[in-house]
Parts: sequence; C-alpha cells; structure tokens
Amino acid sequence: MLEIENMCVNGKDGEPLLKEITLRLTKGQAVGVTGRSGAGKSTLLKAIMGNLDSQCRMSGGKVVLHLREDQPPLRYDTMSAKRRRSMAGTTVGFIPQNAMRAFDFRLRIGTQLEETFRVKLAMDKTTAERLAEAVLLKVGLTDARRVLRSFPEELSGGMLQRVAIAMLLGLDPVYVLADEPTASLDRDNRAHVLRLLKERLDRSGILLVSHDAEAMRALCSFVIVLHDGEKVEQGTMAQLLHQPSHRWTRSFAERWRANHDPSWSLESLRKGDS
Amino acid sequence: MPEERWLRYGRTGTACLTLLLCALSFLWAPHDPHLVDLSVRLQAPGPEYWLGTDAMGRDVLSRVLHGGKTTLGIVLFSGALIVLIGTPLGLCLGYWQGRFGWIFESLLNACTAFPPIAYMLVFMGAWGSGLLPIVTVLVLSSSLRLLKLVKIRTEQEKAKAYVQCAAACGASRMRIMFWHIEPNVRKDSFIFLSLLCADMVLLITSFSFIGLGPGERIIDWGGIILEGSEVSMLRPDLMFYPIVLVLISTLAFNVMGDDERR
Repeated sequence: MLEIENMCVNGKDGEPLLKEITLRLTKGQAVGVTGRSGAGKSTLLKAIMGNLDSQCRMSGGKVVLHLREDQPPLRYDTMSAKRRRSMAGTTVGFIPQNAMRAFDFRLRIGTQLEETFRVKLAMDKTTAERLAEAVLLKVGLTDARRVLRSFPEELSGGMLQRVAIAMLLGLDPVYVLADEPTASLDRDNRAHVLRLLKERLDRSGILLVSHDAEAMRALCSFVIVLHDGEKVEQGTMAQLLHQPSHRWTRSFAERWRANHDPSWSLESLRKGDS
Repeated sequence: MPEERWLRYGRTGTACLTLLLCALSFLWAPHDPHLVDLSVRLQAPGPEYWLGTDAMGRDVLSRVLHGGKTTLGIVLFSGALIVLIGTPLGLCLGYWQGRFGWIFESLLNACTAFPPIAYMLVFMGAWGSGLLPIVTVLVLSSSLRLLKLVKIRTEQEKAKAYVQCAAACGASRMRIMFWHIEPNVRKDSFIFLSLLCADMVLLITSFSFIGLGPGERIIDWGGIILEGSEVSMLRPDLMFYPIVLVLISTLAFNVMGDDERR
C-alpha cells in the first residue's frame, strides 16, 4: 500500500499548494484525482515522486510505502534522494501527460528504452533490447523494430503515449502515477491506453490524475476532487457525476452530461472493441 | 542520407578545412621564417620569395604561415580549456538551484562585466607579456561567459518534460546533466564558441600589434603587421598578407555556426 498522509505542500512564496491531503493506494485498485486546473493535481504527483520544483517544499505529512508484510514501512518522502532514485520507475512509476515532450528528441526511442532498462534493471544490452521489443508488442505497436529505430518526432502522440506505457511495463512498478494520460489522445488511442491501464491493475495500484470522466468511471473505484489544494469531495465516479455536492463537481457533472456520448460506454470498453 | 548531410554541414566543414589549412600550412613553408639575411631585405615578390622579404630579409610567406600556427594554436587551445571549464560548471550551477544560487549569480554577473582588456591589463601588469598571460586572460574571461550561457540553457532544459520524466524514472543527476541536457545545449554553446574564437583571433592580433604579443621569438600575425607598419612607406603590401589571413580565419569562425541543424 502507498499511503499519503496529511500532505502539505507550500509554494515559493509560502502559499499553500496542497493542504492536508490523505490518500491510500493499493495493488489492484485505481484511485482517481480530479479537479480544476491548478487545483494541485500535478503538484500532488510531483510531491509523491519527490520531484517538486526547487522553490516548492513539502511542509507536512508523509508518504509511506508498505511494500511487504514482513518488512517495515518505508518513508518515501524522507528517504535519501539516492534511494528514492533507485526505487523511481521500478517501484513507483510515472506516465506523463504529454508524451510528445516526454522523450529526449535527440535520441532514438530504442536507445531511450534500452538505456533505461539497462541501467534500472541492471541488464546487458541484448536482454534490454529484447525486453524493449517485447513491451512494444505488448502495447500494440506491432512494428516494434521500426518504432525502436525512430526518433520521437517521427511518431504520433498516441504511439508515443503507448511507448511511455511500454517503458512502464518494462520497469514493472507496483504503483503507477498517471498524469492525465488520455488528455492529448484521440478516441481510439484513448481506448487503447485505458485498456492497457485496466490490464495493469492486476499487478499495480494506479493513481490516475485526470479530467476524463469516462476514463475514471471505467478504471477507478474511488475518486477524490481537489479544489485549491484541498480535498473537497470524494466517492465513486458515478456518485460524483450524479450526486455532486461541491460547485466544481456540479459544473463538471453538467459538462459531462452535455458532452456525453452514449456510444462510448463502459460496456464497449469491457468488450474490447475500440 | 549522405547528400543531405553534406548540404547541412557544408559550411561548417568548409570553415573547419580553411582553419586547418591556416593552422597547418606552416609545414609547407618554403623557408625558415627566422632566417635573417640582410642582403635580401625588402625584396619584392618573386620566384624565390613568393611574397618577398621583410626588413630583416626573412621570407614573408613562411612567416605568415608560421603566424597561423601560433595565432590559431592559441585560439584553439584556449577554446578547448574554455569548454572544459565552462560547460561542466555551467551545467552544475544551472541544475542545482539551491537557496544560495543568488550569490553565484551575482558573482558571475560581476566578473563577466569586465571586458577581456581589463583582465589583460591586470595579468599583463603582473606577468608581463607572453603566452601564459594571453592564454590565462582569454580563458578566464571567456569561460565565465560560456558558463553563464550553459547555466541559463540548463535552467531552461531542466523545466522541460523529458528531464522531469527522466527524473521520474530515477535517472541520476549526473546522467541527466551530461547525457540528456548537455547534448541539447551543445548547439548554442557551439555557436557562442565559434563567435568567441573569431573575437579571440582579433584580440590576439590586436594585442600583438600594440606590443603585448606572445614574445620575441614567437611569430604571430599581429607581430608581422606591426613590423610591416614600420616599413609601410617602402613596402606597403607587407601588412596586407597577414591581415588577409586574419580576415579569412575570422570569417571562417563566424561562418562555422551558420549551419541549420536538427
């Protein structure tokens, strides 16, 4: 279990960006985090990973990792940076929002995947190459060889998002922090990504930051709403959409109802057709 | 594709080739540049001395070619030192932004406010003229400028998504700085460096011209221009040859950063 207890984050002028956020994430479960832009959702992810901007500070609370029954819990926020870096990716994984910017545009995809696997998983070059090919096939990029040889600018946003997930699959973390993974995708790619995330639930717990009501409805068992850095509401997605209490949630639900496309439903996702 | 590569790097390649020629052509110098023979002084260009001789009877062509070795040698050596000092420090200062970053910033701004000539006056005053003061001055003043450039670019790249993602995957800081960020700031460093080298050629030549050169026994273009200016009534063309080479080298350095790259 990944436990975030009373986390408080202050910005560069001391203003509170996150106030007393408590959250629990277990394997097999997806928790959604939604709210207005600027409500602190990305800050929450960055704080968990230990990647806050240099002027922001976590001023209170803890991030505790309970990895195994027989082992004592680990304080992820106070552990040494070196130790956290060793766990980053392999224990706590990340899916970026805009995959088109998330890769080093100077290097081929293959190099980036292989280097990451080689260093993080202590593999030799050949094993890393094979793993890279295998995970690309797993995310549905059938022409894996071509993708490995390509530069990031040669691939579409949807493909890059899938490559990002492929990297995650290779590193196989127990906890996945996903930062609006479907935000910059079209409908087909979105369905694909959500299917991959659903499959991932068998092996991980997912913290999904999103504005995508359908995605959260399909994946998350529990959603919290952040507003101005505070948790203002929580519940299942169905509850939030049909019985919203906070004013942001109400306008969110209204917008969802207005744009709701009946053909895009949980059932079609379950059956696996895009 | 090979043709595209040629078109893309054609200018840099030509510039580099030109500079290499200027620097290395002393190997084909027809005469000993130091050989004094007063019986043939101030001869006009002819079959034996292609550019004629100077006031001491030395072959002008050989002197000019050897001058290239000195001037460009100093430039390239200093350039290498500048890169080696400025780049890692710039990356570190740009990546590590602690609470006391403002101290370094202020120091940096104060030091880069002095033009190279100010450094020159200080070091020349202490050590006299010669190779060591020249190289020290060039390296000190310019590596701080390169440091500032690299630092600012590192701060820009640090905020980008690919750096954040690398950090999220657990890449170490050294890896992020030298494997990811450094290659992405290389282009700007290169352009800055090429312009810097052009400036250095002019600086070295100018200082030699006013007598603050590398030394008596060392031939360089500024010194030749100075000697030529002394006999300009008799042989006005003597100043012309080294100046042409200074212009060619400066042009080559200026053009070097011009190519469009990915």
